[in-house]
Amino acid sequence: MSDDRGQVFTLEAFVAALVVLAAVVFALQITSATPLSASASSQHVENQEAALASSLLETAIANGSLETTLLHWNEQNASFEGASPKGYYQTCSFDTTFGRMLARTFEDRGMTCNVNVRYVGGDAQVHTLRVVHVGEPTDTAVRRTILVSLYDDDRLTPSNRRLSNTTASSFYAYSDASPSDLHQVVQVEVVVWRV
Amino acid sequence: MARLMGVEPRAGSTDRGQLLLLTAVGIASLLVVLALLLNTVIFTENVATRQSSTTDVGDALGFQHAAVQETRAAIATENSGTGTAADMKTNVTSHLGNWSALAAEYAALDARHTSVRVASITYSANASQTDATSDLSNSTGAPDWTLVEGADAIRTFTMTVTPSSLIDVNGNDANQSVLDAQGVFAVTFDGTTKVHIYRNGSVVTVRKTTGPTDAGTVCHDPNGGVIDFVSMTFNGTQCPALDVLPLSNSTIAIENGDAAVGTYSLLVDGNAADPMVTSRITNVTIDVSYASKGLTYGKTVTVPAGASP
Repeated sequence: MSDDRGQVFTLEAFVAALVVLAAVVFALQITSATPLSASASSQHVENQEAALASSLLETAIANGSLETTLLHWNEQNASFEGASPKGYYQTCSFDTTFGRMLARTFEDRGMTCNVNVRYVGGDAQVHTLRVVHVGEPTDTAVRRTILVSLYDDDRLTPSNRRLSNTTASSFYAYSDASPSDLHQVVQVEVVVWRV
Repeated sequence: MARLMGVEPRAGSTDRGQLLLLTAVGIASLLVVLALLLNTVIFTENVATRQSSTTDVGDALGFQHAAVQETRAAIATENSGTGTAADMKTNVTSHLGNWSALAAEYAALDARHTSVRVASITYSANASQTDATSDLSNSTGAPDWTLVEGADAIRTFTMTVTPSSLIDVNGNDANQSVLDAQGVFAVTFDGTTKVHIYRNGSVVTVRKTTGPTDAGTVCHDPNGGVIDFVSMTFNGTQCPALDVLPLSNSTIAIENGDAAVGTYSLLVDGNAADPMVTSRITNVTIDVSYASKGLTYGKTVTVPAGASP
């Protein structure tokens, strides 16, 4: 065997090692590990948050707490009763049954929420009113909505006034367009994200 | 060792043909393929669990559920009132039409279309008298009056009369015309079939006849009791005299209502033609539709009335 081939073999070994090392580094870099982790951007986590929001809204409709919160309106202040000076609650845990449900469902799990209500005004346009506004949602926030019917016989909880006796300036979802006992149909939106 | 023509193998050759390098390239390729495979699996699972397709289905079913709940509320509102069938239809249609229009406004913001339309309404008519001390004339005192006209089907019809208030015919009950001549209390079906209720001495008698000269069939009970025209029983006992009553598309009337004191309860399908009879919605059939970019959904749902308020 010729002695001058030893250097070639050594060089070959180095090159082989470099090739394997480069392949390992490349494989580790291209593997997408984020979806496998329980981070905020995980699809499974988003699905769980969406399911929680949907279940919460369905339960709130069934036990009437959502409608009660929507009617917890102070006509004189033109804001929700007990809300901040801005007219809306600035925390998910405000003093109604629905507020306590939000706190137990989201805040206890390290999440927070915004709640908005949409209604068709007297100008036939859809308006949005903040019920709860904690902050701007992240890119991974989930959103769920539900329809709530308000009837002429329903009463605002602070004043006990029937909706049929309210005016456009006293109640945000006032409507005189419905010929039946259905006063208004509003859409409640819950936006949830992890903090 | 085979010898190739013109080729002499070198003695003691250890040329491995760059085996180490080729093996390293093979391992590197394997690692890259594994990484690509893992990424493919992760991406596939991610796409499969996204909510974009399942959210549409959930929203469609949620809208349908909301429409059913609203329909049920509309039915309860109408059944708690005393409106006519025509009024009920107008109110329910208006209620759901308004609800559908408002719901569609919100759906349009999310590039969706929703609608609810009343397809049909089924009614029942309810008539009853619960005061056991009143005779069976109508509210204006007329002894001969129509209870219900053109009933699609009789669901329940019971009557309880006070034996002492009935006419005692003393055995003079040969046929329908004989009983009519004595002013005996009767329930008539379509004007021809009559069920006379009277006394022979102290025994309460129920006789069904189909014509003026028909002697008909009869059943007795010494104590009277509940007459159930649908179950065909008299005081809980089967009464053959009641077994061929025309119980569909019937007009039911009372004759000589002042010759009996007691109570009755009647529930029939169809609209109530008589102002004394209260209409009630049995069920409402609605057409629900939902459309989004990836889903078109439509279903006809029959919503039954809930328990009486």
